[in-house]
Amino acid sequence: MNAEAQEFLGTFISESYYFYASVFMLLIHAGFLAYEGGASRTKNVLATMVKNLLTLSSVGLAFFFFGWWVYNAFPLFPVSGGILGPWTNPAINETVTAAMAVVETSYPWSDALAPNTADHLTGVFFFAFALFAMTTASILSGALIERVKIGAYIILSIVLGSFTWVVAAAWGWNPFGWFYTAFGYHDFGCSAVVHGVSGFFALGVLINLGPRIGKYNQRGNPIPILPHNLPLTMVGLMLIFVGFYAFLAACLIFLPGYTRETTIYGTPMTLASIGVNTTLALASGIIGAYISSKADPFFTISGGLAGIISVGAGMDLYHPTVVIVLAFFGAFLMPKVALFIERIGIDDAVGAFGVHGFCGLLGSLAVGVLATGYPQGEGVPLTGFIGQLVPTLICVIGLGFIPGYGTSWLLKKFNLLRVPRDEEIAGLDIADLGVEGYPEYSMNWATSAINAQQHSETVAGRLEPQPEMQE
Amino acid sequence: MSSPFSNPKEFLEAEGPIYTFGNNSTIITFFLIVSAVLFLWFIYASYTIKSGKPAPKNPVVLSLLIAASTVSFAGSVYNSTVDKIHQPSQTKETGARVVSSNKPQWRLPMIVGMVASGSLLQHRPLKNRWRKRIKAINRNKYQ
Repeated sequence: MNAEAQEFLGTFISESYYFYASVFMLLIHAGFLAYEGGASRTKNVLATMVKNLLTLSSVGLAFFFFGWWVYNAFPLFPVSGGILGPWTNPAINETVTAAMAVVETSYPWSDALAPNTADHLTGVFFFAFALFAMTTASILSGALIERVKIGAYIILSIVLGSFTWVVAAAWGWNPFGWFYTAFGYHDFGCSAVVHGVSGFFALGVLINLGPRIGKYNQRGNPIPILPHNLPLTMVGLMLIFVGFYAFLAACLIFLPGYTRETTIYGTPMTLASIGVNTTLALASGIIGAYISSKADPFFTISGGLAGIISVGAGMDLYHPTVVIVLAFFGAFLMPKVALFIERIGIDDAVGAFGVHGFCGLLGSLAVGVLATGYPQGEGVPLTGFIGQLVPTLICVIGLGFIPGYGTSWLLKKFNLLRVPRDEEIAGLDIADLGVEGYPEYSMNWATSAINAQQHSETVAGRLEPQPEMQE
Repeated sequence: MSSPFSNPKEFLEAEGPIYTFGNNSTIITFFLIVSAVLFLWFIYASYTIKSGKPAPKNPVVLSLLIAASTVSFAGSVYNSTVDKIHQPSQTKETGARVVSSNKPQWRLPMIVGMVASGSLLQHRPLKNRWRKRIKAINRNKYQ
């Protein structure tokens, strides 16, 4: 094999690696679809799944229009530079010159994203990041089921999936990001950058959205609204687990000419350790939630995800025994947090805040306790608690809770956030889509009552028979 | 510091272990022991955790059990009395009937056992209640 072919092989391996990792990441969305569909009631199952499906479109397109540019344009802003764009002079300094090289490939009109034999990698990185973005918005989707307007969810998913988390990633998951350069921030598996931001964003939205009708009794005590298909929910979470292996694998950087695998911060790591630590976090997280929730099936399987998120930020550095203990701890606390949130009047239908918000926060802060003192680069502060705490709080409060609360507050003011009461009672399948998820079963009392009334009126001769009745 | 590295060059060019507490085997051993304890707790918990209420302690189930036991007990007493009355005529009947006439002798202890087990389950809280009452009386006495 000649040198040119060897060089191209390196490019092809990188291109293929990110391509297939991203394809497997799509399983996260298949999982969320099943998870949320199963967690909803029969009258809302289709609307819930369609809402989740639309995330691929809303976030996928918005990420192309501006999200990918935001990731590349915001790393220096506002601490060590401005927002980078066509107005920026690349010759200002070396950092801006290097950053502008990628900014110019991220405009929607850039030829780097189009078929181009000179650039094999920009497109696959866009693909991977778009899937990250969709995952972030999908986390929000589950929390809002059964009462949010589809239009409101689409706007919220665009704000979260294509802007706020992308800013968090630009600052905290980017070699030029000021969380990294100014604080020595380390968040390999995006505990705060993805999960913390989306979990707290969901919390802000839930405060304005309010609980589902019938969730609380007159005294304000929560009443369980049971999933209509818990087995489907459990299968969904298994798919999410598979997708998360790919998600974490895609956090590894291996480019043509590299002689070792690195994190996004340029520090050394191995793909093998991700395999070991993800598996142990999954196993230990399930145990933690199983014991803590006293074998509640919903919390037990969510514990696997809680465990992975709790160790995600430092997964590239933790010893497996540290992973087992930390994942157990995070998943053990998760059901308590979810029940506390429910008790204070916030109806988080799938426990998204407990799993993603709380465990994302914990996972990011844990690096400041269990992986301190790592020198990640010349001039970059050592990893430490303050270096984790400040960026994590900016992520969860500044880029999660406040934008979520603010956007949903505006939507609520214009009466664009929540479906009308009668639609919610009848079920969103009929109200939004005009069809039921299980039409051969008479499960929807509202439509059954209407059909029964129509039938009795037809029999009494007051109504012309409907075409389907004639058949 | 949990990092085994002191400068960026050492870390970025590391060949070998890069994990946290890599230079402190005591802490890794501690985490290993904690991990093993958690695992054993899981095995133990898998035998003891029941998400629903245990059937015998459920007051409704318990009430039904006691009611059924009482009815069954009353029925067996009635049957044994009736059997005693008709005993001379039954001894002439087939062996199968003789076997069936022995049933109440076995049934009675079983029923008594069922009633006793039900009352035992109820007994503990009553006992605790009495203990608490006695403690409260004693406390008032000595204050």
